[in-house]
Amino acid sequence: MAVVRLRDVVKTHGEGRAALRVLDGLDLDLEAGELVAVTGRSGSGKSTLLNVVGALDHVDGGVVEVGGVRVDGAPERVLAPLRRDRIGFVFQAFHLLPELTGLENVLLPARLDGSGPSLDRGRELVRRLGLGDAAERLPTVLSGGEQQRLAIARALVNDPELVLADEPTGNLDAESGELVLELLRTIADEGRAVLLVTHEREATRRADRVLRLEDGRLQ
Amino acid sequence: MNAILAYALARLRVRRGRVLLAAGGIAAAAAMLGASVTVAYGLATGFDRTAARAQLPDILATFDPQSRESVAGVVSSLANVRAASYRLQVDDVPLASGSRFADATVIGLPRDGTRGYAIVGGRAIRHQGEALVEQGLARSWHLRPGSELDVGGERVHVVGVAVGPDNVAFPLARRPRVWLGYRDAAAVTGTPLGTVNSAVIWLVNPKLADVTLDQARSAAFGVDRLRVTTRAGLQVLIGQAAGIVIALLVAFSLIALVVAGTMLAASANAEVQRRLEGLGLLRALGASPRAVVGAAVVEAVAVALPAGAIGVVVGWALVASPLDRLLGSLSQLGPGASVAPLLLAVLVGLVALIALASAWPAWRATRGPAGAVLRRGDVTGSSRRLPGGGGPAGLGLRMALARPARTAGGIVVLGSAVVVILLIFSIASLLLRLDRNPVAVGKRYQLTASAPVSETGRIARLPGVEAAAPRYELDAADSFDLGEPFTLIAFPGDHTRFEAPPLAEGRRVRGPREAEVGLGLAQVLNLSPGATLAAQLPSGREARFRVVGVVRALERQGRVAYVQPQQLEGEAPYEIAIRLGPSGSESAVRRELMRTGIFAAAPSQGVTGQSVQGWASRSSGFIDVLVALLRTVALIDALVCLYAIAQLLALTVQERRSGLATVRALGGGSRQLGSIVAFAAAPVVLAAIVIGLVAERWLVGPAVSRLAASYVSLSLSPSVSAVAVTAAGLIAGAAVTVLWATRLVTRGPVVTWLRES
Repeated sequence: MAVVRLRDVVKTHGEGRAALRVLDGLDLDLEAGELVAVTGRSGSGKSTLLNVVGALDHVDGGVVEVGGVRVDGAPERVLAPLRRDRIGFVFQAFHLLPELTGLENVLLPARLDGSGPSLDRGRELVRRLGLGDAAERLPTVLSGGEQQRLAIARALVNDPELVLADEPTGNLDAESGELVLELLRTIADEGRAVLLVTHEREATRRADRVLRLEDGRLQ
Repeated sequence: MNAILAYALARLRVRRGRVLLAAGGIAAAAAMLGASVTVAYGLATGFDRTAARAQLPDILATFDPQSRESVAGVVSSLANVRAASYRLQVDDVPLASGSRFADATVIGLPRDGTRGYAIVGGRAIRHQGEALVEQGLARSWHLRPGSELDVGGERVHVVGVAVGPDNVAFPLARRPRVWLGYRDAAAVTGTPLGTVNSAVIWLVNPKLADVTLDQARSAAFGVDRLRVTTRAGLQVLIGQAAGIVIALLVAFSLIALVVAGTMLAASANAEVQRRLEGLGLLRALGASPRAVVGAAVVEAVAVALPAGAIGVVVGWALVASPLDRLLGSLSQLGPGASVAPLLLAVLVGLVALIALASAWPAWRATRGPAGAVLRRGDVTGSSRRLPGGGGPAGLGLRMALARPARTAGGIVVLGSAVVVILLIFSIASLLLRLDRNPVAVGKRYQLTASAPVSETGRIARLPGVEAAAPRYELDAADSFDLGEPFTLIAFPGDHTRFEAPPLAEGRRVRGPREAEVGLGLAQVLNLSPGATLAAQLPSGREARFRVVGVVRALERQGRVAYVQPQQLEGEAPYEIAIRLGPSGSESAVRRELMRTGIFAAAPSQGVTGQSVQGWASRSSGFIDVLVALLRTVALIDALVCLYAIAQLLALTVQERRSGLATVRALGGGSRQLGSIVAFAAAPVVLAAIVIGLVAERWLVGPAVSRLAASYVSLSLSPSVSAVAVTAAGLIAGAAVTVLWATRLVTRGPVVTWLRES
């Protein structure tokens, strides 16, 4: 069964004459162990697609399923645990909380429901990603690469079946970006579905499939 | 600049919810200001205002009935007299209306001359058979012009309602006052025509009242039982009934005023903090620092002016009616329209305060780089590690601690509100204690009885009675300054067995020529141990005492002197003070007193044990009005509290929207986000409770006590239950605002706030 299934998804931004239909009858299937890269010009709706799949945004029409759960129209009490347990999100701007140390940021999703095994897993991820030093520091004193690796560790801490990455290398230098892409490939190889939004050609090389978002649909 | 103004006003139009929240907070604080100012002004100026309207005389003299001509002869021999009026004033005249009865004071007025009272309804007396009733009586008995009264067996028509500030109103005063024409008064009291027993005198120069009084004393040979009171003395006498209550309310209102000002300034500051991005944008577009500050001020004033005006009016409206009733109990007029200029000044001050408090953060925002303000660079995070765990609770705590200045501001605002609420509880509790518990006013006896001194021993032997002694009480005036009345209280032997106000200085009385004076009297007459207290007694005789001690007496504003009775006997009325034993029951002793037949032979001296109570008032209605006033202020204060917490959380939520949206994106639901918000509020609320409690107990309470009464130490410490109720209320209010703020965070798609960052 597909981890992600989108059918005839419609999403419009703005109102009246300024309304812009960024997703217009979009379909997508994403299987476990698959890394799919979505490209497109700026403003084509790539991030919107990721937000819709990640249950961060509502759709105006169509069907969105993640792990067999209908996301479209679902209430927050269904969406919150879905995001926590089954989806991992990697943002371009990292979105690490400045009040928490690196390790605390990684462990945050696990602490949201107080699950024990995930805490151990978080510590293991930090060690595996070579973030031992960064773990005890606050994000403000870390490099972009370290922050993004922490963000990836945070996305994986609850062992989700789907990882969504929005321009994960957009704010990184080439070396750090390479490392992050390698990590995402490994994540997919471990059996998770990875949906990567990027406009960088280099990033698409590691993808199993590359889809282009144009006129609101995936080509 | 026009563009800046247009931008500021456009922001107000678009952000209606936020504007309404800000306006609500300003209105609540303004209501507190309006209420405080109205109460403080109304009470502080009540006597003078009413005295001016009533043309209260400078000197009031009472004496045994004399012919009007002889009294007029004495008065006309005095210098400095502008006008005089001679009256007949008789107490205990039976008064009836329907099923209501009372013993009234009837005052017979001449047809001409200045009145000395203010007519607040109807008209003056023009014909025989017409009467004026005092406002307190009119309210209690539902009388109005056109009503009929039975005065001393004669039917009279009520033609007007009057307020006479020379005494408190019925039922605070035991006898209601009824004004009749002189002939009617003489008829109902059986007084020969041409006889008067009271003179009211207006002076050319009221400051020379003492000189005139000295003259009067010399010229009044042959006028028996002359007692004179000045206007200042009257104010003191009125104060004896409720002075401490008024002083407490005025002091409390002043504190509330400061608190409301603090809240407004803090709120205005926080409001601009919320608008910093807009101000950063203006800077990025090239606006001058002056224009940026101007935009912040215009936006703040545009909200503050209407909201403040509404708040001030609402605050005034909420307390106007109970204040009028309270002042009515003291025979004083409400402030009416005279408070309007003051309220207007409050509004101007409030708007100026908000403008200044808004200008300050805006000015600061023009100092740093424009980009930092634009992206709210000041919230990117601290480089310090803050205490608290890494879970939702710890995150909330760290969010609060990351903004120490704001957290401190929130604590100050909420702590101030806690102080006000605890103060209200403490004042209410103190008033009730003073009214119901004799020990609170320094009295150690529970009952008094009218009985001959010879029966004292017998009363003392009754079961449940620990001690009994005659207690003499006599109104006197200082011989050197007749305008300063005070009360002499005398017990044979050691008075501390029955009344033991704390000794502030010197020692207790040991002999018949010694006196302990209350601090209030000591302050007025500049007395200290070693000085002489010269008391002019009602008979005109002078008694001299050497001051040996100064006591903190609460009764009669401390204008009392404790002496032994030898110099007063034969002149001072007395009653038997009865102190109960530890197991003595007041009702049982009262029953025992009634049951003993020893007084049966002399029914005119029948014993009716009377409770020593009603110090603060003789009417539960008076306390009810006070409670209503205090409740009103407490309610407004609670609203301000809610607003302060809501604003604090709204600001935190807005600033940390990116972080909160991230938590949502990571799977945080309402429970987790609620936990974050709750723990962001918790340090402020908990610290405010502790700091408010400490400040009330050791700082504000004693300050209010000193402000209200320098002659005594009032305990304004909050009780455990008051603290518990306040803390519970604040926590409940905080919980409501946390729910509201959590709803803000969890409302709408996650991406909305995530995208903004």
